[in-house]
Amino acid sequence: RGQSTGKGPPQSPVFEGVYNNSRMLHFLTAVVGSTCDVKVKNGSTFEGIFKTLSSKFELAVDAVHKKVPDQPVGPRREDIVDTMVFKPADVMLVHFRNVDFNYATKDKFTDSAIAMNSKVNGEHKEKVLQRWEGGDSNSDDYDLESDMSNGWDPNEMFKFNEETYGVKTTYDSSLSSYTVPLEKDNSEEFRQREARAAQLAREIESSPQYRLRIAMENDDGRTEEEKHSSVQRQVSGRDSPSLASREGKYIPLPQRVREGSRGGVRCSSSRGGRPSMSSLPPRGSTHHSESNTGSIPEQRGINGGPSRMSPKSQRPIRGAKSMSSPSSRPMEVSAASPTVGRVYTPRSPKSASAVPVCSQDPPVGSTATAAPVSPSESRPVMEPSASPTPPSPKVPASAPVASVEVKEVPSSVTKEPSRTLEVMGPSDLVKQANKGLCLQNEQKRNQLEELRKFGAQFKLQPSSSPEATLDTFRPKEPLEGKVKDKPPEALAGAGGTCEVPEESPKPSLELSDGSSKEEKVSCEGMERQTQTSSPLGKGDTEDKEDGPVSEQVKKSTLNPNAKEFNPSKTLLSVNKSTSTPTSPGPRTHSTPSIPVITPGQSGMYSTQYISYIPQIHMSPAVQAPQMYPYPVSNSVPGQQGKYRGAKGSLPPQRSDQHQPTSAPPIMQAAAAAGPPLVAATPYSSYISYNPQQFTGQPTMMQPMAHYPSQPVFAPMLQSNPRMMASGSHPQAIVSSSTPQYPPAEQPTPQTLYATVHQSYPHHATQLHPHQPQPATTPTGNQQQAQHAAPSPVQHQAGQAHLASAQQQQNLYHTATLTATPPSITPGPSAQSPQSSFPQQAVYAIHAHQQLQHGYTNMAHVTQAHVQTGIAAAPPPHPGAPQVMLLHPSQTHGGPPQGGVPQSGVPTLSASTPSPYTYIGHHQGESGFSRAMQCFAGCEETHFQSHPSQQLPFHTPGN
Amino acid sequence: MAAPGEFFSVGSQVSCRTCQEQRLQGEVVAFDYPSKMLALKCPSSSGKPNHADILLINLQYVSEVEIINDRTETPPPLASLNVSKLANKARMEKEEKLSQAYAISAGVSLEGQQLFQTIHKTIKDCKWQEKNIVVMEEVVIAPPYQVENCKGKEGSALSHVRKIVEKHFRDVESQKGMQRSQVQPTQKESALSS
Repeated sequence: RGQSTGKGPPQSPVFEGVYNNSRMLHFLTAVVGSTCDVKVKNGSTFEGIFKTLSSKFELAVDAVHKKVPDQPVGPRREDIVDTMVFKPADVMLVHFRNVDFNYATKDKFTDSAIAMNSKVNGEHKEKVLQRWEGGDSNSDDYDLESDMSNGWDPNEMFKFNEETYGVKTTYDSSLSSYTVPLEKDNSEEFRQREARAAQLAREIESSPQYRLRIAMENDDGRTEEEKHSSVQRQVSGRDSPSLASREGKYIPLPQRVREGSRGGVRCSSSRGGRPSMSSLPPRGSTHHSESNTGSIPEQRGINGGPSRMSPKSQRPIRGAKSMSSPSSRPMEVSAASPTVGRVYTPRSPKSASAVPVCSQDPPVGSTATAAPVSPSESRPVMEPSASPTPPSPKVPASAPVASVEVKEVPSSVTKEPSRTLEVMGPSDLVKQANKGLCLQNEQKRNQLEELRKFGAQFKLQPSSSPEATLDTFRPKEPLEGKVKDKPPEALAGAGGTCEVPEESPKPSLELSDGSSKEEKVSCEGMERQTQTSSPLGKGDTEDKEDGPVSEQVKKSTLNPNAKEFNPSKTLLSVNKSTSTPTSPGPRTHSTPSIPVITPGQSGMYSTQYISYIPQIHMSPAVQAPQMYPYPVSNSVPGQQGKYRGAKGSLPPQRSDQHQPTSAPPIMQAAAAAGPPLVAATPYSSYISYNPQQFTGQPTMMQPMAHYPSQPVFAPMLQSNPRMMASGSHPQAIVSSSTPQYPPAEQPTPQTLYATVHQSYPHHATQLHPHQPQPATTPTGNQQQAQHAAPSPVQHQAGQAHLASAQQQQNLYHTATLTATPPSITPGPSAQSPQSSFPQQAVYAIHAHQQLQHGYTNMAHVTQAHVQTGIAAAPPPHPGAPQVMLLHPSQTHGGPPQGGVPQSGVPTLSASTPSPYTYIGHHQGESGFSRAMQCFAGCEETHFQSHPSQQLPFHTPGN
Repeated sequence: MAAPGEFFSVGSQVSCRTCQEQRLQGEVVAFDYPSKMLALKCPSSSGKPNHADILLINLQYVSEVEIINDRTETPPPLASLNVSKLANKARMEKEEKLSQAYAISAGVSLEGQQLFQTIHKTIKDCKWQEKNIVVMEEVVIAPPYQVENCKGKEGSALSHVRKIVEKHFRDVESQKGMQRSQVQPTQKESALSS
């Protein structure tokens, strides 16, 4: 009714008819509800209550009756029409009677009314804003206290009003209107009175009561706030006393508390844990992990994976560690890998508690596990001792981390162990893998189970499953050969094995914990970072980075890490990788992957590799990224040349060489320092990827099928030959696959992939949180956090690989699978956007595109860009590896091969204990976590999201 | 905004004659050219100073328009209106008219109707029940609606209604007397009559 008239116009921008006439509308609205007589052209009159009018000026009148002259009585009910609408053409006159225009007039004195004043009846008038003329721009200088005029002088006001308004004041200063002036005279009486009055005044004014009251009246010494601000009074009263103490406490307390909680906890954990870690006690400190490890070696292996992952993140630390045990690394590439393992252990402690724990645990548990696993284990065991010793110092740091992890994981760990045990029952890697895959389909649960299985598998394989061990052994043998060549590697492998078991538990725990774990992980990561920082200067820097990252992770676990990874990875990885031997770490990772490829490699390595491989298989994409990253790093530093050279020379030896080759890349990655860790992880992942793919290929013809998917990668890789080369090495080991890879590798696609990986990791990380794999993600997070501490890049890669790997894999798989072929083409187009990243960018773009296609992750792209931008080469590799991994994983995970390849992988994983040592840190962390994630994520993703894709792959493979 | 600058300016005094030879005069408040509708404000027919009557004239049926004096000053800004208040008023007015119509339909005498309106001005809670006026569900006033006809539970309500009725008839009597003496009706009377 009235509302329509009133509101209708203002609401709609375009008014029709009379609604455009705001004035007419206003008056016709004001008469709503008034009695009106409508006289129509035929002369008759109708009376009613005016209701509203239309834009066509049609008048609606309620309760209308026809007025009949000479009718004293009102209308009868039957004479009244409820509503009548009069057309303007029929209306001659409308008489609204007794309208009170003030009735509906809104008040003009409230803020809302004033605000609405600018908008009257649809007539909108912008209120003209007046500039504040505050005088000088330096209004801050204006001192309110300095202006004692207290406003206008009365005379000024009078003058102003007189001039402006013509008002003349009647003010009389004598106030004659109010009082009578005192007439002074010289009479004696008056003087006496005056003196009397003055005396009284003095007496009164001198009295204390008067002074007190006058003081109150004049509020001497009291500020306005004190007078009127009860809050401040309270503050002054209470606060002053308590505040003083509080304040003193406040500033210090929060910090102290924080520091105490952090530092204290960390310290306690680190101190207690670390020492324990260095020795068996560490496990105890990391009750969860340890207990798990103790109960389930496999879990330990899994944990080792995470720890390794953390090591990856810690790569920078590794660099430092590598420094500690550089000799071994320098000695041989393989040695480097072992050193990496060692490094990892230290790193793990530093960067991530879990990692450290894993590393520490690995030595103990790993030794045990490793021993059963393979002959190489003996060496590993020996090595573990060696590795442990170096790690021990680092371990302390890690130990705290481990303790933290334990805290996080406890419940999950306990549960996980049982699960892992169950998994152990199925010990058969293939079965487990298959089961894991099926479970993975179920998503989170599956992922967790898978992770557990991985852990179990690791344990089982080494200890329980001779077959697996055999498989692993084969690799191991080659590895062993390598190991022989590179004794340190064996040691590292042992360490890795040890770590692996630990990692497995940790991941499981993490997985079980899920989101909480993630948070914890992040926290741990923070703690780790802090711890790490304290222990190691490098670690500190990295830790600091991780800290924020971890915090971010806590808040938004995945993404934050990913971001951090990018920058740190690129920068750190590149620098360090190029410069330092730490690169071996990454290489070791790659080597582990290689070992996977070549079962014959050292048992330790093989085991490690296996473990990695499974991971890879599970999350080929994830691992692949790692692998790629390595290549990338290599390529970046110019190591590519080495790789190539290595490839050229090594190709024959591929398995052995692979490690070396991988080692070089790793070295390079390590050289990247911060990056090395990251890079290393990526490389390891790459290696793992390659191994997986390769392994898958070797093991199964299907691998070839996988390769088809890989070919896609290859194309992608082509641009990044480096990455491919690294990948190719593993492949070379595989032999059949290798050829394919080489081409792929030749192209620099690896770099691209790396970028892609990074981007993927981001995606993955982002996605991961969502994914059920949280547990894995947590691990990944932890790893990431750890990694992050060392090198953001690695973390990112690790995270991305791990958590993202799953998601990414899913995406990637989908994207890669579907997109892989397209990816190449898309890549270019995509490249343009990421052009900044050259080839990598292109790859990244591909990956991104793929991912984006699936996920539509702009963020990923951006991240990828960022990552690529930061460390174009290293990051890209990780990214690429992931992509690659994804494909492989998909293919592997794929129906047919899933079992076989995976089984192969599991075996590898079983044997992996040593590999853990190798990859252990890097791979272990990244690989394991990734693998776990990959398993969970990949399987899940693969099954879930990629079924179609997998099918395609399979078809190609088939 | 009635056609600013055209035909009529707000505030001018306009006189016009309709096709039915009715003379209308008032102050222009609005004019809508498309519909040829002119709104004039003229003194309230009830004589209340704060009230006014609005004439909405369709110039299509006006034979003669004369601008008595033109006003060039810009019209005062329009105050915002409380539309919901107006809508409520319209609804209340309608209900009141309908309820009154029910009473008339029931054959209530003019006195009764007048009394009802008087009571209704003071007490909104009154309604027709057949020919009886029911006030606040407590007091029933039956024809011929005299004070003695007010029945109900003894209390403030009944006494209050009786006072209203008593005053009403006293005013009616005085009005009649004034009319007889040709004295202009009081506002109250006019209000009543209106």
